[in-house]
Amino acid sequence: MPVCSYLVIPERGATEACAERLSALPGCEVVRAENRDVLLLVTETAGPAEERALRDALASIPGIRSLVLTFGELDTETAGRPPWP
Amino acid sequence: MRTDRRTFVKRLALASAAGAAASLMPGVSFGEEVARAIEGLSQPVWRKTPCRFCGVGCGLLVAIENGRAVAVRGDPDSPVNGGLACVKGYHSVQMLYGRDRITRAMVRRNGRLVEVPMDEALDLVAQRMRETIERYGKDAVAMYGSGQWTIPAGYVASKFFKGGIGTNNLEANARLCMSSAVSGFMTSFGLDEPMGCYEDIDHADVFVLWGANMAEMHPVLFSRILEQRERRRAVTIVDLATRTTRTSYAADRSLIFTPQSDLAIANAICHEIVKRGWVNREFVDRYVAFKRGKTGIGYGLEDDFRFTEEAVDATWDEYVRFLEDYTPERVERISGVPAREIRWLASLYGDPSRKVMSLWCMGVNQHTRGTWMNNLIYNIHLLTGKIASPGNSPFSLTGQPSACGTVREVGTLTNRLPKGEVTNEEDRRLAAEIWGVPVERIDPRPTHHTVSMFRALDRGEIRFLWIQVTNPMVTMPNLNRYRSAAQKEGRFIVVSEVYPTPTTDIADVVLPSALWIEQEGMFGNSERRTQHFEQMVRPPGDAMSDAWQMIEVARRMGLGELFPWRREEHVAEIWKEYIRFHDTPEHRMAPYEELKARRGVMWPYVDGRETKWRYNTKYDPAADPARGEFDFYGHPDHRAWIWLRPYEAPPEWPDEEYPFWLSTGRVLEHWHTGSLTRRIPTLHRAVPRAYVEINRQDAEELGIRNGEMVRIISRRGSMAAEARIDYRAQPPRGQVFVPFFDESMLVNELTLDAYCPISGQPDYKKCAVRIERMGMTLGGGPAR
Repeated sequence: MPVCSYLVIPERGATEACAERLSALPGCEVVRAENRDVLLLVTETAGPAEERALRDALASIPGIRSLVLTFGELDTETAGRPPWP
Repeated sequence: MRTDRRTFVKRLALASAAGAAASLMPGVSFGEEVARAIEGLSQPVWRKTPCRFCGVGCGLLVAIENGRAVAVRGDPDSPVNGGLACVKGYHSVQMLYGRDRITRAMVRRNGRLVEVPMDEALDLVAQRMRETIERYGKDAVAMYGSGQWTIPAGYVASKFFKGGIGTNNLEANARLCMSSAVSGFMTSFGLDEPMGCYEDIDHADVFVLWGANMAEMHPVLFSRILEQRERRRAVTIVDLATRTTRTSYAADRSLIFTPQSDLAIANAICHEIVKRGWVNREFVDRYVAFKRGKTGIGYGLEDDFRFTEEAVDATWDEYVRFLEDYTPERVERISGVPAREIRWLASLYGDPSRKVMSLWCMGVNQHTRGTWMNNLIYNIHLLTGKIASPGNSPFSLTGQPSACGTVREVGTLTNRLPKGEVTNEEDRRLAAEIWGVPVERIDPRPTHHTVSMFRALDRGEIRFLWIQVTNPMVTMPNLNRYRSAAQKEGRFIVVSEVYPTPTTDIADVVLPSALWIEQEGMFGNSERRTQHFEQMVRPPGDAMSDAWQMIEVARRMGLGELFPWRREEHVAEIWKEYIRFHDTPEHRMAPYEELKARRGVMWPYVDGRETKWRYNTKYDPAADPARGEFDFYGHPDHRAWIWLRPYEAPPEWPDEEYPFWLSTGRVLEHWHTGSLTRRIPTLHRAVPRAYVEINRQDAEELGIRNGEMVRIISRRGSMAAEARIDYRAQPPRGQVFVPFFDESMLVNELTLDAYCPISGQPDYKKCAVRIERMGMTLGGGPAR
């Protein structure tokens, strides 16, 4: 269950639209700054494949000037007895 | 309100993003909700503990939130590591939460392990112990523990087996890693453990690493050495090893020697020191005696092998004549190290203006002449008088978090008691008095060291074996023999563990153990520092500390009077009882309350002061100033002993059929057999499986490409592994290296169960193998 966070800097005038588009994606929570045009995005996905798919989706959202990965934890579940090759 | 780990991680994620925003846009505000979420992050309580892994004993701070360990950082107040930790330490709390954690007791029925209530399993263990003793005698039951035991667990094991049952069938895996260091200390100084401490690193000018890949095995201490070189231009680091490692690359000079020839190199250094007039005559005359031991002492390969060392007085002239065989030119032929390099190394030790620290670990100890190698390094320091003073320090590193604190100090070895030896009547009397048992119950005869114990299991002399905190079905040399031994009819094996391993696979009973901070305890590190940790989280399910498991079984066997303590206070009560054994200026230990409060305390701890340099009358309250600057009070003559120890060949040597040396060891990311670190995804992914390092030219001659599978074959077994060429380390021609952390690639099926006759410690660094191409890759595809 990977958890990541991003600092999102929208293009001028696109903050509201960006926030709506991001919030519509599964596993995405958006926090808007009270006094700046900047968003915080926290994502939670089911696994590494879903995480990669979400990143692709984020990259295609219009109106984002900059998307900075600020946190990434991919190992919230530990493995069991390692498989024999 | 309870915060689960997911919520905590998401808070961390949010805080990271908010922090990044604040750094770019000062004054940015995300409102009360975010502020509260971030504030909530400060709620975890940070508690101190020594790291669970190696013998360096780094201080860690573990964050506990709602009963769960959620984060780790190096403890900035720790005098060991000053806030640093290695990759294992930083990820350590994840080992508590692997999904296949053993949480219930299991008993083998119809070939399968089935879960049973803990009480039922403990009843069965006690019943089988009692029945085995009644039928076969007290020496038919045995306990095999570890340098990862807490001090209280080791103490309970010693009292239970030696004072309760009356057998000396108590061993620990430190026999496989540290017993040559112990016998080295005992023969050279009459007392165990280093005279110096880590602070020597801050004073030394020269660091000579004898077969120790510190960059991977003791990374925090190695970084401390590198820091000194950054600060002081005169610092020189020499890596003396059998293969080129990350330590070699960081060193100022790397000297590669033929396996076993370290014996000759050490003597050649002494030869040069004598010849060039670099001997500190005043020190030698006043504080040193010369001894000759037995030679041609064998390798312990026979089941009925017996050896007893004898110290015979020798003279300075005899020693000088002995060294005549070790000219640098002759030793160059044995070792492959150029004579000029040996002279240069001798000059570093011989230069009276430079302080020298020698450091070693498994390369020296896992050696069929391991005791001799320890003696020989001490010889160099004694000849030059560079010992027991700040920066002049022969320093034996340890591998496990409490090999010193538990196994060596508590004495969880067949020959030892919490103070002294079972063969010594005075030591037995002290133990009997403190334990409240008849002195006759403590057997004066040592029984089996580890290899011998498993051989006795094979022969049927031992019928019941209880294994705690170690994984011998991965670590025993010549493993095929000892796995078969454990599976023989009529053997009963109990394993206390936290995860399934090849050792639980052969168990008749599996007891779920508490791990590290799931219990209160103490570890003792390489520099005589005892560190306390409290119970921070609850163990899962029915898991119970190893110490309490033993107490429960002892009570069921009618030995409850030895363990009268309440569970809530037993660790404090054990500590108070245990330190009565060491209530002398040579080894006095800190009271429980001080241990709890401080970042570890070094012993001897006398009148509220730690002793950093033993035997030095300026620092050590047990040393008598009337004897001069030093007092080596461990020996009755108050002298340190220089031993005449020759070079002798190993028992197995590469030949036409098996043309390669095989060496085994650890890697940075994994702890021992990987049963903990392979449950930590980051570490597991970094090095997911074992491999074999092969020299590039050897590989080319054999037609082996990087990454293809090869078979490694010795006289005892074979295994398949990926070939790694020019990987993180490079063996010289004619050598291969395989790490032992991978339970699916059991390199110890190949190793030889030869051992040092004095210490009983096996040699995992030298046996002969051949390599064969398998023509395939790991996935089964053809090798190109």
